Amino acid sequence: MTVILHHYRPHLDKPEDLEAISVAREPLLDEMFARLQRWEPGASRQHYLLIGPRGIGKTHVLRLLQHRLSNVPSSERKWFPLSFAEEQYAVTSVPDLLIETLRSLAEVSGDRALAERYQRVRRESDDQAVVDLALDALRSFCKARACGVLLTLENVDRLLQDQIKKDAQIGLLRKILIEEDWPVLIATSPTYLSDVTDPQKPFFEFFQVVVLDELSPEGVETLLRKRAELDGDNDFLAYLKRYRSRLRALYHFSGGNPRLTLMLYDLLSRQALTDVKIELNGLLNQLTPFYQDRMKEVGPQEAKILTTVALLAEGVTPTELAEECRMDRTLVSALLSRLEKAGYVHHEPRARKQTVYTIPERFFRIWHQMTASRHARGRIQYLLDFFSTWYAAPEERDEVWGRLLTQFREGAERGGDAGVLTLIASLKDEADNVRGSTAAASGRNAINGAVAGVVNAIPDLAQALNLRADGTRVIDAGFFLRAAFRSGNLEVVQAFVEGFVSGIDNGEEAFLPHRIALDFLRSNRDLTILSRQSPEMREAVELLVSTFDQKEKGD
Amino acid sequence: MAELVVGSLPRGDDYFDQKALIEEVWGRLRKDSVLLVAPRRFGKTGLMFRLLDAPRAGFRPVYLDVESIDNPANFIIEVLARLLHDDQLRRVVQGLWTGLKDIRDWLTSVVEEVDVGEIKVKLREKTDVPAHWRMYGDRLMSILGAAEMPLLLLIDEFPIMVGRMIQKKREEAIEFLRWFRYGYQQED
Repeated sequence: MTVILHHYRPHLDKPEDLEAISVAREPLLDEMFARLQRWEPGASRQHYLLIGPRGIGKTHVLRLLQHRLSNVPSSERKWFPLSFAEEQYAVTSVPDLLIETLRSLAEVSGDRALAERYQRVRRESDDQAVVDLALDALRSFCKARACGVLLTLENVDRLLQDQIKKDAQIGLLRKILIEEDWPVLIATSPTYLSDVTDPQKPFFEFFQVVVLDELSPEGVETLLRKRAELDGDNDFLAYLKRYRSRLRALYHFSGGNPRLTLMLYDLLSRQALTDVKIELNGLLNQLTPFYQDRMKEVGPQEAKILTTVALLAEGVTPTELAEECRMDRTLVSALLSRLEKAGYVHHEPRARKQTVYTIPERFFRIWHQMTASRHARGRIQYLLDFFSTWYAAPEERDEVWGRLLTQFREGAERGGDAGVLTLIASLKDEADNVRGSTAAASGRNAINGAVAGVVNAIPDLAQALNLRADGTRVIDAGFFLRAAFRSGNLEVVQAFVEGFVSGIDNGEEAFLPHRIALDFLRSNRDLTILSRQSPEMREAVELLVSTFDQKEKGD
Repeated sequence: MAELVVGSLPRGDDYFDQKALIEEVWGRLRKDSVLLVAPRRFGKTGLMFRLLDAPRAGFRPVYLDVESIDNPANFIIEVLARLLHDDQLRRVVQGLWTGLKDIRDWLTSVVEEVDVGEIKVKLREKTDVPAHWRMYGDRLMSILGAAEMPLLLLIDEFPIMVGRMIQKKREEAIEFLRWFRYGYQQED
């Protein structure tokens, strides 16, 4: 039986279902639960701030903690967990928050005195009176039951910075959390907020901050397995075992983000993987609201940095970013540091003491590329990234490639298959970007010389093309071309070159595959792949080239 | 067993390793007031709660976080409410309203049953403390000075409160500081 999970609203899910798919958050949950259960009135209370990007599992953790506390036998029960809606737009002050606390606690506990106090203060215009009277009632309730109240506030960054705003009010909230014996606050935020890092702010270093990390590859696998088990989907479990590369691809794209992993599961478990482009666009459509929200939760400058990192070649230095964004390098470094602390970017050491930053969730990068302007260089890169990583196992790629090739051949014979032609049109867009730099080249010798020069001068070219010159990374330029090079002996390269020259000799604009081949040669520095053998792929590429050539000539 | 409390307030056994500091503060308090000066997160509030949770003989501690207060009247009301809510200090403070029958009756009949918030609301709504905070402040200092039990007022975030008062009404803030200094010097 398929279990529906609400990816954006986990509070609507059954706690049992959330328990069933819980991965990697157990130590944190156990620690918070045990600490709360050890508490006695008058003892220390630990307030927490959970930080992590959307979908990392903050709400999931809160929901499970609430569930576990609520399930403690009544004789041992010490806490009334209260959850507020994730978007508390109506709360703009501490009195508002206390009124909501009264209402919620009265509802959960059924306590008449609380309900009466709520009715008394809910329309009280004197904020001081609201605070004083609400606190009296809450204090009295907890004292009588020797219990505490667990307040969980999601998106506390928005609440403090956009809604409550005033330091006096935030100071009042701190005062309540210190003075009163009953509340424990667990807040969440997608980023570090100045309210806890600025020494002038009331909540400076007030919380125990817990950064929720993305899942490890093993964590992603466990999550998918648990999710499939919840559905009783044995086919999917078998599929996972068979296509291990899909797991790697899932991890690659999701960056270990649990919500994203679960969304990918939904897609994979319900759709046949027959059309790569539809599959990819389907995923991206589903992810659009997710990523739109994510961009809203970072500041404008951080958003600019994130977008730029996504659109540039993978792995960018702070200096490059500063130039690209026209921002001060120190500011860029500070913004990158904030983004990294919150899990949006990672840094990796590279050669020559350089540090480059990447976005761990490739889908986030792909989404940016997709939404960039049509002529942006990344426009095609997203398709190629997806294609080459998703089908990481050679046999899978061959299978899909064979299917695509058949489609292409049939489409070409019928006069055009829309899907394939769209793909080619996209590829051609990319080819147009490099047209200017290759148009000057003419003649077989010149091209052969260029190819040899490219191969021999890879490190210098990589440097000139602003690529990472560490010799380990290959720029994705289309998996079919890479596969072509894997056929070895540069025969396919020669085929591309001959076609290219032939086109020029005939006075035509250079054909797309040849342009991409040259572009690939420019960027590819991993010569080892040329030694591998894949005759089927070579045949496929040659067929594509020849068919394309014929089509172009026919037009 | 003590637990490490991060950022929040350590209470009971969780407040540890500050024996020398605590001894020094109690020793100084027997002779004078103490101003705790340290950057944020150095444990000033934790120390205050230690004094509150484990008072030495002869002291009656009352804790006030005044960060959100921005005028002298509310400071006086906060102090009065805390004292009226304290079983041992209540009777001393009730003497402030000997001439006001309504509030005196309320204070003697109801105050034991209500919490500190209700007392504050009553003081703001039914007394002239907001209008005459200086007079009540002077009388309060005088009454407390005459009482046998030394009151230990633990006032947290005092400078922030003064800053807010200055922002709101500079002259009133200066008057408040004069009163505070005078009262502190006059009474024991």
